[in-house]
Amino acid sequence: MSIYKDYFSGITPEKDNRQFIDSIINAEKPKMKISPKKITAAAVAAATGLAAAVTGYASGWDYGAVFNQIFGEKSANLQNHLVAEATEVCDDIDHLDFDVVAAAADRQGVLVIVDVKPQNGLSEELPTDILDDLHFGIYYEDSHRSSASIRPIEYTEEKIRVSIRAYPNENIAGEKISVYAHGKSKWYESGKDNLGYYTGYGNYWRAEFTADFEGNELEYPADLTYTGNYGGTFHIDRIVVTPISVYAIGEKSNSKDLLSVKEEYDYNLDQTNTFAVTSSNGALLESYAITDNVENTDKKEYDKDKIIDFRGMFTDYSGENNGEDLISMSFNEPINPEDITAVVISGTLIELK
Amino acid sequence: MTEKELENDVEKYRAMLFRLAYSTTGDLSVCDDIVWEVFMKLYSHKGSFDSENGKKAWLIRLTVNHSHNHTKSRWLRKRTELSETEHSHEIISDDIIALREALKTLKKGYREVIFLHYFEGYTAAEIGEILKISQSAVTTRLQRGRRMLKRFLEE
Repeated sequence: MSIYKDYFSGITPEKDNRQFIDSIINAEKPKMKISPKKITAAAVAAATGLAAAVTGYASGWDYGAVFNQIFGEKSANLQNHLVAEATEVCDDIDHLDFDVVAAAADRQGVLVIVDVKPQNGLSEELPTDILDDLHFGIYYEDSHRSSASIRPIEYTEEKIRVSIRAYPNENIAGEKISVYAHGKSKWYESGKDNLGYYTGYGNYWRAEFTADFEGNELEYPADLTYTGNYGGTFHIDRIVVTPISVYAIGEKSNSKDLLSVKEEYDYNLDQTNTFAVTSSNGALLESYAITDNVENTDKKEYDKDKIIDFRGMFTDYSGENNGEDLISMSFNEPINPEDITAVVISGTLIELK
Repeated sequence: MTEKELENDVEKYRAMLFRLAYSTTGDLSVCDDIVWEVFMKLYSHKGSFDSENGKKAWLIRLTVNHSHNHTKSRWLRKRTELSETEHSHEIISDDIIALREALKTLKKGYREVIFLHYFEGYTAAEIGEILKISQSAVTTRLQRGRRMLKRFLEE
């Protein structure tokens, strides 16, 4: 008997295939898991100018016209690509039934508008026009830093240029850091593959990449590695378009939950982890991040129940981007889009799953 | 997707995805649910796949994602795991039991890589394509996974 057969001996489904198929065919559509009572606000704008798009949409404007107005008709291919990309990602999110109807990127973010389908009696409470921001996230492992951010800083019909930053936890003052980019060479502009950066405030490294669009296919860097003198190395496996659902702001304060999370886990609250989110109606919502200590692999519980640090539209006063708005996300380990389970806004822990 | 197409895909992939879910979660009691969710998505999937391999890769990726969701659920952690032998009518050797226990100790992200490589025969490059991670990450996980398994089994 082969090891395969041995190993999976007894590891078989309970139902036979016919029962299994019938249960799928006869199943109801998944129900929305977010209580309508918890949804009191929506449409968090991810970049300057999108408030106009939201307003336009709310007024009955045509999506395409709105985006063409903002980003120009030449960006049609990019928009189509982003819509396709976002749709694929969003297909894997099962707590809402929605279609991606428009997407665009500007120098401050990648933006997606999704149309949430009213269901299960939620049509009155749930806004049908929800603007969901779509952020670039970074997958990495063996990280020695607490967060990273990526943002598009330029795009045309042919290419998109993005900036990646990594914020290490360690004190790296005075160290020379190199950023190496590997992978498909067409992704990188010559002369920009190695780029060390240190500001003295914020301590981050930065690398820039330019991506080509070939038809509707957007490829991501296969690997990004940097090595610091502190002895650590981490790899950014890939860059993905990741939807962060900041559309639901809890009606009821869950500050107790937040406190219990704090008590349960180590966290590192520093300057890079405090942020503000600006909603489309101009409200300022403060938020705080909780960062797991992933280096302590003995604490396996961390792998199962992490809180994601999401920073949307915070003002960066460090380095050469003084005063610019950035979008940032922090992960505790390599993560899939579906791993995103919660965000914290104004002390309210929002469970997304 | 038609009912007939669903039947074909269930015949073709269900058992493999079930084993993948088990390898990833180490919990037999959730595998049926995970695979059911995956096939639900396939059934309601509106797009088309470039190839059969593309569809298989999509199913694998979805299974891994759903498995990760299950393993991190607080609710799930409170559940009592079913004894694996409840489903089994065969005698399982001590070595296999030890290997199963060892695989459960691997970190998330490692188990599926081990499964796809050693049980399904995928290369590191193919696994990278399927899971959307770099080949170097796959290689790293394979190496570390092997080390961790060895260490566990030696103990």
